[in-house]
Amino acid sequence: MLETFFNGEVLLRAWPLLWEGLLLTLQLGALSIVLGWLGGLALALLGLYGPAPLRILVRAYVDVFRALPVLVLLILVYYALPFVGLSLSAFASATLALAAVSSAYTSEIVRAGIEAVPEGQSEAGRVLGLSFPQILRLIVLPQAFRLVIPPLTGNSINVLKDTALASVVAMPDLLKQATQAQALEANPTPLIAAAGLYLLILLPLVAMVRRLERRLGRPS
Amino acid sequence: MSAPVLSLQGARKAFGDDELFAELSLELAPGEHLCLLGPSGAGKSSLLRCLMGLEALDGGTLTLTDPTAGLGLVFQDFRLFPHLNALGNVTLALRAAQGLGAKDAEDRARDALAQVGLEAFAGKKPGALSGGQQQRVAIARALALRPAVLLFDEPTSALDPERTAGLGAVLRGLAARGVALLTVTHDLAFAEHWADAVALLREGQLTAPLPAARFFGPEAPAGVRAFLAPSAAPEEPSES
Repeated sequence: MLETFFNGEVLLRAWPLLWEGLLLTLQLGALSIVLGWLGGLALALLGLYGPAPLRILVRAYVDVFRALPVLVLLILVYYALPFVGLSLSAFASATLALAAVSSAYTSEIVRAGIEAVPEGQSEAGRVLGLSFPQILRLIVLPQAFRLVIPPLTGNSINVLKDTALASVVAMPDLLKQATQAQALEANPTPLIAAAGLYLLILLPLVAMVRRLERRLGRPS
Repeated sequence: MSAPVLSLQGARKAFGDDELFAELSLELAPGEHLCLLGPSGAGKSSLLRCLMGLEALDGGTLTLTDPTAGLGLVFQDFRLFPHLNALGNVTLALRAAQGLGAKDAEDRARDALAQVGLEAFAGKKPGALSGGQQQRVAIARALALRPAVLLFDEPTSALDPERTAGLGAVLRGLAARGVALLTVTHDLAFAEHWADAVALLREGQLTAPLPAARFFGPEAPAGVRAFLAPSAAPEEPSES
């Protein structure tokens, strides 16, 4: 049993592969998360304050990318786009797919956060002579961000988890490296180790979301 | 009476077919504290919002004698910025809207907080302040922009008698520095005790401002007496 699932020798031999995969997973996750934040913020602002046609486009984008499974989108980007002359690497495809979906979710989270800031706050800014961009930047967004930190962190956890889908388009991420090592060694220990590594990274984040939610749930 | 700092002539405001007031005129002298009374829904708060530019007038002209010194408004619910401490609430517009440097803005903000007796609370967030203190931060925030006129919407609604007297004293101090004050209130005792002049907005008509003693005295116009003591006053023939 121990020999099969927790084989130290196998783990030692597989470790360099796993480590490479872990780094790539973290890079893909971090880049997708940051791009998703930026895209989501831009979408939220356009959806709330942009001209009417743009608001409708944003609405459509958000709905489509929240409905589409990430895996389907990833496979479309990687296998279908080359037919229109756009060949992206596995890493770029995964980043694009993850960020596109994440920005749709982030946009909804940020929009809800902005709408939760009372209208009276904007009026107070107007009365003081602030311009609309100043009101947004100095009054509304700082208050909205405080509200959206827990759901935004939760969404980022999902993005980090979904990076494992990139192994489908042969990107050598943590999961892909683990399955390869498992095939090579004919032993599941590298898979167990990979699962352990995912937990090691994600469990503290999950705990952090819970802490943040508890703290923000209290009246300030 | 010196030249008015604010003059509103022939103002009209309607929401759809519902006309709040028409041909409403109002003047404020420097250092004058005018209290505006009237039944709920008479349009007192709307008048403040129109003066402040939060809502557009449907007619009439608003003239400020000194265009560089504008109007300030202290909301009934204060509307402090909860993510900033008292000092940050006051410096925000000084820096962003008036373009002051950090040092100048802080000096002026601390001065404004001192004028309302809150210099020791500069570092506190609104959530850590009492209602009365929050109101004073809101006053300091408006005051720091050096307005010619300060508007107050129901400033005593959340204050106990002791704090109401404290507010009255703060307002008297501002008036002594030449700031014109226009207060919308339901608090008759506050108006009687702290205002220089009192006017009644009722059914779209604003009565001529009277000194508080006369407004609340037996010689007040019949309409005013009817508002102050509805059961005791005689029926107005025009209303039947």
